[in-house]
Amino acid sequence: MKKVFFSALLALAVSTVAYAEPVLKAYAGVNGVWLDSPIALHLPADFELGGNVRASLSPHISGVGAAYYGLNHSYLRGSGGVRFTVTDAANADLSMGLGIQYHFASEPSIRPEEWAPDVSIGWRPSPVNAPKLVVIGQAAYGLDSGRVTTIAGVRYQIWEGGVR
Amino acid sequence: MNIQDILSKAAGVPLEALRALILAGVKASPDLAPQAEALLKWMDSAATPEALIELASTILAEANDIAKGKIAPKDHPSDAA
Repeated sequence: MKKVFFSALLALAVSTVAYAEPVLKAYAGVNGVWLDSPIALHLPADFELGGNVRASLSPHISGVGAAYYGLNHSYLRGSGGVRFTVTDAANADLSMGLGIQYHFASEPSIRPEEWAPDVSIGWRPSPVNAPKLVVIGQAAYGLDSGRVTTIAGVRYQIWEGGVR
Repeated sequence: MNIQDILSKAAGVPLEALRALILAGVKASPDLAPQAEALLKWMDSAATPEALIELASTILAEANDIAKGKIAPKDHPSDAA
């Protein structure tokens, strides 16, 4: 399964020729993580450092992937899948997406390896002064474990590719 | 159902707490007030069945374009999550 995702991401990368909006973007990120519970008003169970990549293929369809290291529980986890933007595709500062990703991890007891549909929001709070800074939130439901994992964090764009 | 309902259910945060969290952010950084106002307005927008059906047909058409090699990237902050 992992090979399928890596192959798909590689195919997306190779297929990126040149477009006005970059097809590929990479972000460095930090997350607060709530494991097996909604955010409610509890402190995060863990904090993660890592990065995300996305390949925007159409106004509503993107391939997405992530790799993060959990600082408290010392795990490495990754994910890859597809996301559909369900809000105004012309709004580059605020959006919500629905999608599904396959998750894999060095410690499956903490971050189970499974498919998980997710809902994600992204908000660029200062498009003029800090256009590369994005605030995110995401809730994912593990299809095998039944766990709801929620993250909230910030991203900073570090790379883009496939620009015309 | 509106977007606020969807977010509230996904995050497990009561609606009022979600709004209070955003307003607290504005209080801490007043420069964010216009953006926060837009965010709250967006959260109140409705996710009607008609809009979802239209979205589904749009996505199918875009998937067809991708299969034909037509790529049309857009910038969405939620893709960074």
